[in-house]
Amino acid sequence: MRKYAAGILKEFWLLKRDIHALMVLFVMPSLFILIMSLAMRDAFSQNSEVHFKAMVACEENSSASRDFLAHLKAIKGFEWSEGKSTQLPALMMEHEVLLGVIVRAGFDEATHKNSSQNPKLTLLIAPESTPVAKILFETAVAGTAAKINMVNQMSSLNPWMTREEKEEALVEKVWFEEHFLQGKDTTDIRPTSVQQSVPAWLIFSMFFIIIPISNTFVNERRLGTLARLAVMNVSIGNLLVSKMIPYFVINQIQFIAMLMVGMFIVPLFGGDALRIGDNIGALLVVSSVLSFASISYALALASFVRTTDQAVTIGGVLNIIFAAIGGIMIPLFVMPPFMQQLALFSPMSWGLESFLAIFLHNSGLNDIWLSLGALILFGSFCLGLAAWKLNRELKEAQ
Amino acid sequence: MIVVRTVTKYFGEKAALNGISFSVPRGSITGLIGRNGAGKTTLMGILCGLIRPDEGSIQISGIELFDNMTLAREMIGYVPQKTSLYPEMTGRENLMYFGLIRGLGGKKLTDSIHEVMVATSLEEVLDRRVSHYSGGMQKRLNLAIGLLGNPPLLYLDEPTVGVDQESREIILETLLKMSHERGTTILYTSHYLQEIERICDRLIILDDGVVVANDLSATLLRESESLEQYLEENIQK
Repeated sequence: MRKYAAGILKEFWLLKRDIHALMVLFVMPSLFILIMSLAMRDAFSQNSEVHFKAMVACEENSSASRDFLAHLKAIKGFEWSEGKSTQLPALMMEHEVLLGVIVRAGFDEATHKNSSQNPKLTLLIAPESTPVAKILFETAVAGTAAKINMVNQMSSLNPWMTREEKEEALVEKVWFEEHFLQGKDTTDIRPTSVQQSVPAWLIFSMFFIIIPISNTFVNERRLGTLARLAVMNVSIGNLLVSKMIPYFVINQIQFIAMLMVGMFIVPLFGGDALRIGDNIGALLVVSSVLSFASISYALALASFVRTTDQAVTIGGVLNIIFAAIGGIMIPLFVMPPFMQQLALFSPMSWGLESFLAIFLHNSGLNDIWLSLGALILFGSFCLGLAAWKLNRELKEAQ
Repeated sequence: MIVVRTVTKYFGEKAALNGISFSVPRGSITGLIGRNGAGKTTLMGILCGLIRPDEGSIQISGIELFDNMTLAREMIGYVPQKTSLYPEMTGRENLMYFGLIRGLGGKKLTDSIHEVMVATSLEEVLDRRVSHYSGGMQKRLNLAIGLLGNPPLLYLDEPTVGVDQESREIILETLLKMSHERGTTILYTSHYLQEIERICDRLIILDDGVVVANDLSATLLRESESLEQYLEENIQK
């Protein structure tokens, strides 16, 4: 028992002097969580504050064009302005406007007819606009034009239709109500960017435990300390376990600290507060299993490299690859299907999936056992690899 | 204290040690010398229980090393040639860590740290980080760790390589004191014949995996300028 206590104490002594590693473990994810939560807030928010800059240029002044303009301005997600059709290309070149619609002369007359063989609306789309912005814009313009077309046709059939009746017909009707699914229940709690960014960057930083682990482990191997410890009856199992315990504690402090950042710091900067759901026990299990996997992976890597520089470089690159394919840097749902399949090869993705299932669906351990099982298998394999390599190295050292 | 019987170790086809036998009496300082590749490091590894021999046996104080490794190793203080320390920890933290590993605790640990600190003249630098120590100080701390808990048997693998004169003196004086005052049995390897001649009571010479001289008086080295000269004049004839 005293040997375990000594090993744990030693790791804490070394860790407290490794300021750079502590920065990577705590400051880096806090900043990432803050920046990414705020940057992606509107991509997740249902009350989007994203405003695509759009301009309407009317070449005719008619009641149809005025109605068209008034109804477009009521559509959310766009910052509308008015201008001349001749100005529009120049403004788009200067990035002042992203999307433009020109109402051509004859629009009023066209909206009274049943077909539109000769379109009277011209859309201009800046090359930097996203496909989503383009689709939203096309839908908004087409929907508004169709509505005006319908009302104008109605008034052609009914010449006694008053202006008030026409306006009433143009008023947007509410056809549905919406709820978000959380587990089997529906709720009005909306998914937010902070629910993606907190677990994502927490997992990323947990895997960076490779830095402090390799700093001590590589030196122990290089300086012959492992052989000395073996002569003092310290077994490889003893050595690995007394390394795992302190870093497990560090990982759990990271877990709590990052949840706190999501719950209390991000809202201070205008972001949404993290809601962690009701299943705290499952969250703790996911965090523990992830910690086991990340520490074992770090020990395996630190057992094979020769220098700490190699550990940091190889570990850093592998972590970035795991993060890129695992939905850490870019959420999985925006990736194409084949990239989502690739995420199955990233242990970071298994952890992220588990956290998101708990945050968004109130899932329990029954729902996420497959991801947890994969993490435990991955961690056990890495730990076995580290033990095998150390055992071999101790024999070769002589 | 140590009895080595017909120990053989092969690495592939080559015999690193070929049926060697010798004994080390309790309380003695025995020098283990030989040219590079003679088998000293392999023998040290076997005596520490890090390498299992293909044949033969080793007894430490009557305990069969490979049958009761844990108990036998508790008697061994090992000072490797490399300074096997934690450079980012202070000298005191290193001593505390290895002391705890040795099974010391509480007052025993504090007393033992004080004792080895005084013996190796490290009092003034003990709370500094080891990375700020000179090479000689690091070697002294390396020795101090081996002395923790006052083990009855001490293995030293070239403990003075790359050490300044002052530190060399401290290391050699400490070993003499340990042997004379506490009766510690010391097995010492070095390339420096003057050191061997000065502190060792007796000599074992290894050459090409066999013991070519056993239980020699270390004073025999006095007339030779180098190990090679001694081997040529006295062994290979």
